[in-house]
Amino acid sequence: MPRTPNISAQTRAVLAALLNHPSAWRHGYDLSRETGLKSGTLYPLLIRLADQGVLESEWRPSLTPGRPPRHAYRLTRKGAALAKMQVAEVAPARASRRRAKEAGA
Amino acid sequence: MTVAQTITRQLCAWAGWIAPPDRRDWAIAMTRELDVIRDEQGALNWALGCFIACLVERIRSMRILTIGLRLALAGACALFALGAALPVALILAYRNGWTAQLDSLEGSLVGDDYARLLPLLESVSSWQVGAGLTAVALYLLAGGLIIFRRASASWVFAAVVVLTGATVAINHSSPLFQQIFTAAELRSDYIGLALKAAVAAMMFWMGRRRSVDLGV
Repeated sequence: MPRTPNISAQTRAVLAALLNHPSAWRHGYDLSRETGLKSGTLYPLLIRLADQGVLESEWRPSLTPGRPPRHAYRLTRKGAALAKMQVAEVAPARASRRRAKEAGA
Repeated sequence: MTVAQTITRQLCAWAGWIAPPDRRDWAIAMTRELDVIRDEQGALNWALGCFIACLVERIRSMRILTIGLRLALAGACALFALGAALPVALILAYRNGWTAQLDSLEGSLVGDDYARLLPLLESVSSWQVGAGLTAVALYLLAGGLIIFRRASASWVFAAVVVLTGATVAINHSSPLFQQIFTAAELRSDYIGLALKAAVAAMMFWMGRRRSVDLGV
């Protein structure tokens, strides 16, 4: 069985947020609000993920007329596969933790 | 313009200035998001995060740890070369009657009883001197290759560790060595060898290629 890459909780949160709308281009501020990550944490992650080919980025026209384009991100095919794997792996673990917590309470 | 807005603008300018050249577009991307942040405090927090992110990228691009580690490894190679050169120099000075050099080398053997080494200096064969000289040359070569970031440095260093290990094993099996040196002195050779093997392992670790690098 291939080894699963060790990914931080923050990276997993970003991957999960991007996986919610896999084909949509997402902006940094939207991702920050959805994941609760500050810009100082979010952007180094996005840079690393882009470097590793997990997500692609593009300058997209701003929705506000007259404003300059904004950088947008979405998962690549490789990134979508990785995100699905991570979400599938973490969901049962979270559920079992929750059950254990409820049983303990 | 309020104070918060001024600080926000200044932080964005600093972020763009501090970001490494290949990350400038990311710095612009971060600051462009301010267009959609309405509240002043949120914008200030965002700009502070941008500045921190750009600072992190600048520090990463400087590779401080890599440079420091490389210099430390090259320094270790130089020390190992010196350690290998000392006995060779002593043997050559003794055999060629270079009395002045011999006196100064004697001084470097602090606390050592020089006279006890005489039988050894007379009996050491030329291949052992050759092996010592080769080790000195290879340590220096490995150090140079580390400085110039050549992947072959690890292999050169591993080769010299193997050579040293073989020489130590052969020397220690000799009854003369066992007679002259104490058990603690002979053990210290193995400790030195283990240290060099650890350095070799570190060099291979530093030079390895990362096939999966998702530990972000």
